Amino acid sequence: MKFFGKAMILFLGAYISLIAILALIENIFLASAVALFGSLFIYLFIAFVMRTKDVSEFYVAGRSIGSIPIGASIASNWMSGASFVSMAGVIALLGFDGLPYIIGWTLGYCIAAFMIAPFIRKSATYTIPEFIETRACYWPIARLVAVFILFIISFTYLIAQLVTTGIIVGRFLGLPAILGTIISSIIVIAFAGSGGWKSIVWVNVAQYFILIVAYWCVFIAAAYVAGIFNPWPHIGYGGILTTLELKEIQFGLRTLTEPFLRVLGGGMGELNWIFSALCLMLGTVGLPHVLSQFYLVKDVRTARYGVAWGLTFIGLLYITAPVYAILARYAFSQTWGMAIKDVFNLAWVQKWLPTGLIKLSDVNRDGILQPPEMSFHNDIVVIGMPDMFGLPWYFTPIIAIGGLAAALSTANGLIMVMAIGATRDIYKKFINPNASERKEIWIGRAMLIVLSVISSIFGARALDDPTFSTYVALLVGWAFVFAAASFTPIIILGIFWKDLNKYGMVMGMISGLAIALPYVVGVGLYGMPPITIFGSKIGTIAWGTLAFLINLIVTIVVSLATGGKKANTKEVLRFVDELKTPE
Amino acid sequence: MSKFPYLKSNLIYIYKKLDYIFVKREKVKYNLQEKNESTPSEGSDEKLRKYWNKLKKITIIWMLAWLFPAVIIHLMSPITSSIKILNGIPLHWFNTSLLSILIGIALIFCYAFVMDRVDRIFKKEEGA
Repeated sequence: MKFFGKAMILFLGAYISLIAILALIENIFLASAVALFGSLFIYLFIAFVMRTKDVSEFYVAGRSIGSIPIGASIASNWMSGASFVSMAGVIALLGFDGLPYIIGWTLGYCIAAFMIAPFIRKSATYTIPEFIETRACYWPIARLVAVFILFIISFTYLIAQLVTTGIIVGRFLGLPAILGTIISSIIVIAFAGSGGWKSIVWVNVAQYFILIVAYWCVFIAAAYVAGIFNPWPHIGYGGILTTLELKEIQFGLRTLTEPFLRVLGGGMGELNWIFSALCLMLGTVGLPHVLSQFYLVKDVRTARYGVAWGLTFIGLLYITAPVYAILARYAFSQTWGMAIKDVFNLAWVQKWLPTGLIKLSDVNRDGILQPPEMSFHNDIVVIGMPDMFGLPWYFTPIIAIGGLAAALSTANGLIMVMAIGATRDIYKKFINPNASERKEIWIGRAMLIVLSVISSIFGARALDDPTFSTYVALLVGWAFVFAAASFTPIIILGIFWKDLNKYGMVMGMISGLAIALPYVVGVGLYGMPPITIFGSKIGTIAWGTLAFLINLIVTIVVSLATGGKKANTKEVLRFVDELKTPE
Repeated sequence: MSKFPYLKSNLIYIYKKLDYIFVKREKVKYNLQEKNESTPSEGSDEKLRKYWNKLKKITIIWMLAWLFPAVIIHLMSPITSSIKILNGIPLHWFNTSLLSILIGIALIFCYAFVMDRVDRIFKKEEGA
């Protein structure tokens, strides 16, 4: 290990020196490319050092990870390329009505800490489908259904990550996006194939610190230029927010912070806002790639503290995104009322206009830029921030490295969850239960390659076909709805309620999905008018909360009607009891 | 169903067969494990019951506390939106974008600390 430590220090020294030399000779493109692709070698190096042939290390990192590393791994696995690049942009567009994403994707971890993580760890199962099968009296159909849902959610998520990686490589280096997608697939195979979860956790830890440093570096520099260090940017932006809102009022716009005015997931109003946030929270704890991290920790205590650290690390990005949004919106507002020709001459506008991330058009032909005449894509808020505030060139590759780390870290976890699902939940369970450990690992590696190839083909298709890409984006958004409507109630009741039986579980999942799916498809795809409850239009995301409640009710009623506890075997009741026993 | 008189019985047969193949094997595996483990004493059962009741109580308290940053604080947004703090930040925006997340983090750390203490007390009692 000492040798690897020295080798790593040497590599980092060479990496930084090479970038510095290229920067000094003013070859900015090459310096950026070396910085971006060099970061991949750091991850590959860690994955290589952590390689393993042990099944337990491959599947659950030997259940040996401490609370701070698992916190960092949870955070980087959670924060996707989209979170990194687009989250602030969504808030810049939707204002207060975009904030359900912020609290929904953070406070769900409280539910995980109080009701799920320690018990999942205690269950000693290897995968969520295995947990569900065990709780459903070892009913294999329950495991198959769970694997199917796991694949749908993880696969769409993975395609979105590969697309983001391709876009990042494409935008920052001018290379074809499809190349970025293929490269990231190969890299992910290398991470995951070398040591399974053991490699991935440590790669994720490195990726977390790289992504958060990148996000914060640019933020701190932009905040300094904008003068919001009074005393700290997260509480010091009142001045520019007031200026921004006065300008919005002057131009007849709704202010950014006005609540419950904009459309969110096809709905609108206070109840839609609250339900959307709740659905994202409930969905978070039902997502397989989130839950799978709880298997990797040393013990129950570490699981609890691990989630706490996880939320702390996630929070560092999520409390910063709204301030990013305000900074970007403030920068945009500086152009309102300017002569169009002067706006075209701004350096950051000139740089980003050809990418299509901002669009300008003098609709009323008065020569003056009005707010509706400038439209922007979500992504410009983070990736264009260094240019908006005139920061030096090296901030742009820093953001690219962070975005790449974010996209790859999520892809790592997703592909691993699917590979284990295919190996342990299908191959080992149904095809070859007597497979040796060595064979199991090789099957796992083969699955990684197959899944990576399939997902990169779909990723390439998404890059080529905007309609297909839209469906992928919608599916990713709805993954939370489906997770909240299917997995979450079953897992919580499975831990806390002995009367839950397999009939209740299956009927609950079916009814949750039967409530969620038609509404989501009808309103989200076919433009059906949303249902109004207490004056709020309930959008597709908010509907997930109602589907969760329906699942909960159906599960309880069916379980009680079919004998409750009596329908469970003695072994299952013992399994539930063991979840409660402290280690 | 009347058009397919054997369908129902065939489905039941397949289900039973699957149930037998997969469940029976796992049951045997589990029973073997069970035999190797010692049965906890009645006193230990009582302690476990108390521990579980305490855990449930703590979980309920923390879930109720979680409702504050997750729901209640945002229900007040129409009122708090007119209150400005820190040189012009609307209170509802501040509550949602920063305060609720910080409360969430604090809640999890407090929960981990409290449960850790409860676990230690349980282990001590078990040892005694």
